Amino acid sequence: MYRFIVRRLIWMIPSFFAVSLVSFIIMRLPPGDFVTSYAADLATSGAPADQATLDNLRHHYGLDRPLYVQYISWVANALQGDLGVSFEYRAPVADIIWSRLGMTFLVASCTLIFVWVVAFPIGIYSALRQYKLGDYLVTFLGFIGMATPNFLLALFVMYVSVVYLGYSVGGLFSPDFVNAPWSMARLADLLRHLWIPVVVLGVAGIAALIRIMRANLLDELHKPYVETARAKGLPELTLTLRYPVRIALNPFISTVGWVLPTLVSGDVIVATVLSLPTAGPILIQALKTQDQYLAGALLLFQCIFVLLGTLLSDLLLAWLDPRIRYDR
Amino acid sequence: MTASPPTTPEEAEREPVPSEAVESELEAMAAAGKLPGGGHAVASQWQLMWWQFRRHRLAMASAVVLLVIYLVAAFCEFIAPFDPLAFTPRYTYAPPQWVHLFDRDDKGDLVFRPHVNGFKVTIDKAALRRVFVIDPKVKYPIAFFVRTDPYKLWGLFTLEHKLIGPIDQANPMYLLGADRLGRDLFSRVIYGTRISMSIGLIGVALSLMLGVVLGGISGYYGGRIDHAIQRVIEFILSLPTTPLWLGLAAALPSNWPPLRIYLCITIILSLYGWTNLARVVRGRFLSLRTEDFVTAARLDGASEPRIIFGHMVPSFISHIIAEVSLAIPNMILAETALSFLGLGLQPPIISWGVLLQEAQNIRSIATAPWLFAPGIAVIIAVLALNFVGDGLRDAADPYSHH
Amino acid sequence: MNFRSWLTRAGGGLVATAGAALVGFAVLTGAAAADYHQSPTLDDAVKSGKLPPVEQRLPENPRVETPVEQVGQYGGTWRSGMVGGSDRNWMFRITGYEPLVAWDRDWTGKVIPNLAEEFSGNADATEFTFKLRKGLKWSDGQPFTSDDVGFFVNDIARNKDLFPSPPDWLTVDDQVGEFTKIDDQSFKIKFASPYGLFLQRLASVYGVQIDMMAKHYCSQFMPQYNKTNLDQLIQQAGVKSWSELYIKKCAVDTEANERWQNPDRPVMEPWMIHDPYVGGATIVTFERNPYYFKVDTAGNQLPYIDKLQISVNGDVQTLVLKVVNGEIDYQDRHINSNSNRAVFLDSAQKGDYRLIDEKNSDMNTAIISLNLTHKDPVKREIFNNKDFRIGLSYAIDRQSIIDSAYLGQGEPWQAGPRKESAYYNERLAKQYTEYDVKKANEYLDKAYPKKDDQGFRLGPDGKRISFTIMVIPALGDWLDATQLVAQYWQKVGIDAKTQTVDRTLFYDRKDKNDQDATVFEGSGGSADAMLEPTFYFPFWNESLFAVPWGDWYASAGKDGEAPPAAVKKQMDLYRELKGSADAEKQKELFKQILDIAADEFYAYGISTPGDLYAVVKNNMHNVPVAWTAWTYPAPVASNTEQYYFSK
Repeated sequence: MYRFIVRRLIWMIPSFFAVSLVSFIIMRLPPGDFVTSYAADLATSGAPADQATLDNLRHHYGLDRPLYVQYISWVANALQGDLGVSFEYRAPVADIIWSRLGMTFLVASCTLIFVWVVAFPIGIYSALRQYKLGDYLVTFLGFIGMATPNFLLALFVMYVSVVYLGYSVGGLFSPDFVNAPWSMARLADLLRHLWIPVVVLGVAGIAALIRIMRANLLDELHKPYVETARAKGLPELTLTLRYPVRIALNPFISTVGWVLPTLVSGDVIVATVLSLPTAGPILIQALKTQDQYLAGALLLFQCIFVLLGTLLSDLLLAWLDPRIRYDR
Repeated sequence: MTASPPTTPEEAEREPVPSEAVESELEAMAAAGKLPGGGHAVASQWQLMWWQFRRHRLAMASAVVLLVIYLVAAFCEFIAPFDPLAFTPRYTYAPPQWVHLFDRDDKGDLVFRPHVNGFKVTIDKAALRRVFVIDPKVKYPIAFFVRTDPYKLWGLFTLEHKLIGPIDQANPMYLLGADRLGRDLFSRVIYGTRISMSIGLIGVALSLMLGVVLGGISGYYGGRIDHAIQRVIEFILSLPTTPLWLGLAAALPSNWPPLRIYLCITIILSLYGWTNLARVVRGRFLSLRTEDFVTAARLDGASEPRIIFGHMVPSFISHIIAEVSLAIPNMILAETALSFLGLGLQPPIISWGVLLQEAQNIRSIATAPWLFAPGIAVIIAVLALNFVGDGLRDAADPYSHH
Repeated sequence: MNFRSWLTRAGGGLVATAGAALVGFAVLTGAAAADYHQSPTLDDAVKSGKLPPVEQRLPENPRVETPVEQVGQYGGTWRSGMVGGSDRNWMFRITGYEPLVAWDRDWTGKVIPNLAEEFSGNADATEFTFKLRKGLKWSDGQPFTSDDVGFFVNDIARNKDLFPSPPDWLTVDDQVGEFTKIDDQSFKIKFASPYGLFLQRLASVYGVQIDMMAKHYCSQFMPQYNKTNLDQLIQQAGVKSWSELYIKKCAVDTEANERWQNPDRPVMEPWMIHDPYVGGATIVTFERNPYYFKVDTAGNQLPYIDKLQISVNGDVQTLVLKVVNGEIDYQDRHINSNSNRAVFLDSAQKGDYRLIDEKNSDMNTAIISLNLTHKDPVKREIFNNKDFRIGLSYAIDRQSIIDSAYLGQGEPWQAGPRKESAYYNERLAKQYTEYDVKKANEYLDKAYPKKDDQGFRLGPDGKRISFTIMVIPALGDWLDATQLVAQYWQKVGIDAKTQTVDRTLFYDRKDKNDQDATVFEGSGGSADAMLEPTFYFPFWNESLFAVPWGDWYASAGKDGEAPPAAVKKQMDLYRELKGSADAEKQKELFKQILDIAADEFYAYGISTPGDLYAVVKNNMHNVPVAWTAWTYPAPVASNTEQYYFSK
């Protein structure tokens, strides 16, 4: 087991470099750089900057250095904990990211819990009623959930909650509570806002998990030990819940690993539509304006989270399911 | 690390569902005396699959829907009643008109005379909008195979008829309403079908090629090659999709002609998609390598390509088809997402994603909800593809329960 | 209630004695407590001695502002919204405009006193004298004097680290104006050659730069002033050099995010930042500046409104929903598109708001410029053929475009100043605007009669005339109109296509002169026409029909490409105009420039833009029907400090 963990951890080192390189390449793929996009921004508002100013800015940000130098210095600094500055916000990248990760984590974990709570019973129900009306209905609804582009859903939910429920929308707090200290009122305000992103982000996940739960449980239900148990007269519910469900639970455990990656870009698009104070909208903005260190840092975080998340899931699985062993 | 736990839900989902159905079908046939004695099953694998698939009624219905959708995509010039770019200032945000099949003639008798009603239009100066009220007195007759100005199908054949349309081309017939420029949404959705549905197909075809070749190599040869390819796949899977697409799509030079952008977007989408297929193929190869029939073929002195393409590939091609049908909807959704971000495809190209992007505002929800019809189209297509994929997957493994 | 109604009544009486009389009174009596009033929110601070009393905070001669409707009431929070992390100009537009001299509220083009109570220029427009109001104070209570202006002109504007090239509005012939201090209130700025538009440029949006830097605060970040702990400050701020530190703290650029990030920086503006606009902020707030130098006609210190609260939204639609829900008190930016009008009107009662018209200063909804200086000689020849250009203009059905893309708002219009403008030129505005396919084909036949088998016209090289019109979909309502124009041009045998590009790419290509044709908004249609003649002659590199000619003019012949004689004539006229201090003569010269522009017919316009609008809560008052422009930053230039909420 330890060998496995160590091997995975060691493997993460080259992955990290590969990921950082790819992140950097993605950042620099579009034509121009941040200064080009900044110049365009100025020009649109009617005050185009002259070449000398732009060159100065480029020099100031180190964008006039060869690309490989930019990359190496970025990675070297990142390893020392300095993620660089955001050109757009003119602030250290770390400040910007940390201020948003908390809320991102909150939204991601609430969504995960929501998905579990809803998908789990429905999946079991669907499997036990295979090819019956209930199963078809659940399957159908689940697929509709998967098939609806979630940014569309986000807009509709938002519209309905404003026009018919009169809620304040956008973000996770009402303006009065954004910078207020924590209190019961602030918590209530948060909950009033939180349900929209949680539902919207959760729908697709629920549909997927129901399908998985159903398929896995069906597999188990046809195994001989179940037949045996049934033949021995165990009540159907006990029979189902005691063993097959437990084993079918594995994929649910795998999803724990998802939470970490969704920290950064869970759903960039939905977060933008809903104006959530999470990392996603910042990432999009940074990619669009070629704010390279900010976007690069976010991409890097995301990749590291994916690697860590997968490892975490694997470990949890091994711990829960004695049949799974990573080393002999 | 020999055991391979289902690390991703997709993989877990891929576990075949036991198909007692086929068994019962076979039993039924045996009972009906259709199966000759001696245990000779005359049904080929494809036939078995088909029987199994047929039992999945939802999948069958979806297959029909899918066929219709692809027909629409193929013949969109003929099916769309109007040019999707033609605009009519008089009908900006016109609501959908219902098709009425029957009308009363002069004597007041009911006769078959399909038509749509005209509009009474008033202009709301303060809100700067046209207010449309259906005017039941004005009737514009419509028909199948109406004559129109000549146009080209696939840029090759000149046609002068459309599937459906108003008999007088100047009359409005907005089956799904009109958009902000008075363009016919129905025609636009029809044209969007071609781009959106083909993006899925082409993208998946590319994924398939990459996936089968690399997955095949990985699974058949194993060892170091396998290890290397698996690491690459893991690496690609660890890249965040949305930012990756964003970055790549933003990097596309926008002075490229729309068609090339379209192709590149498909390639970008498939760059990620091949990994799953490669894993499936690899898994199959790994398990088939030691199967008796492969060993038998090898002992018979069959060449490597013959073993691979003559024996191994046919035995899991059905799985691949199922996988593919499940990958297409993801591509379609990804295209809509990219278009929504203003990356992906851009007008004047018409895809469902582009249409949704244009409708993605409060004005449309509040005053012109019909503009979300492309969303319904996306849902129908994705649903159909998923059900067909589901059915295929169930059917793909007719022997699995033995 | 009774206190306020007393104020209101008292206000009526004071109006008569406004202006100089009030000043004299204040000067004579010194601290006459009853004459000026302050917001009740400041009472405690004054009582406890944290703030001096209001009459000591105001200058001796405060600027007396006549409210748009009536004397208002103190209190309230003005809620509005921004979109994205770089939307700083909304703050500029509601509180960021407090120049030495300002535009008048009706934007007739007149320049009026603001921080400076007197100003004058000499006859040949080379030397300008200003006298500041005595007793002006920064928001931290420190005095604002000539030295602060001198600090900017001498230490900042000339500093190569902060300004690699000096601010354009303070420069003539590449030379920054000379600052001479007369006394604490008076100073002179002298230019090397005549600068007839200096006062207008000073009143325009970038002029505020001159009073953005408080010397007592900002000088601590400069090596020549701070010999003691500068290194320590640099380290604390986590930056590398003093110039980075300076920019972080004092925001050299008027449009920089830094301007709204440092709550410690003293300002002269009505509100000062409280929750800053930093990365990750979801809300930005402002509080009143207790030292603000304006009063209303009843002697109430402005602003009336206590706080600004600006939400940072990820997407425009969220902001639209907030408006519909009544969560926004005043907003025009981002949301006031024509298509949203219907949405807002439908919910006006529920959201308890009204729509207020705004006068649009733009002269055109979309200017389509063929590149007259195209790198490809064939395309250049085609685009420079005036018959070709006229033919294409006749081919556009502008009324149809207006009806569909602009909801019937506006009339067919070329690139010429608006009808209400002092510079209106009928020929320039209306020529070739009728839709006449026959005429279009006549002109095009004159130019390029040959066609290929698909009906497309052939150029002089025997190849199909084909070009792309570059348009930025993220900006403006141009994409629809452009697509329609391309369709009309296709109909007369010209293979024009629209091409959507990202904003960055748009600028990149036009700066390299790599474009066939472009679409952009037609700004400079009103009082700003003369200041920003972008589409009237190649003025700078924003003159999209001939960027190299614009570069040539802007660099005084150093860069770009020399234009033909008629264009040079326009440039000479404009130079003459800039050198004149006589407003009438400037107008006459500008007329000649526009006449030549009409002869040359540089670019196509589509239509005059319709009125814009703002959404205003029903309880918000004193909001005028104002111009909206960038040179005249709306709504702040119409005096947002006197907006108020009724109880």
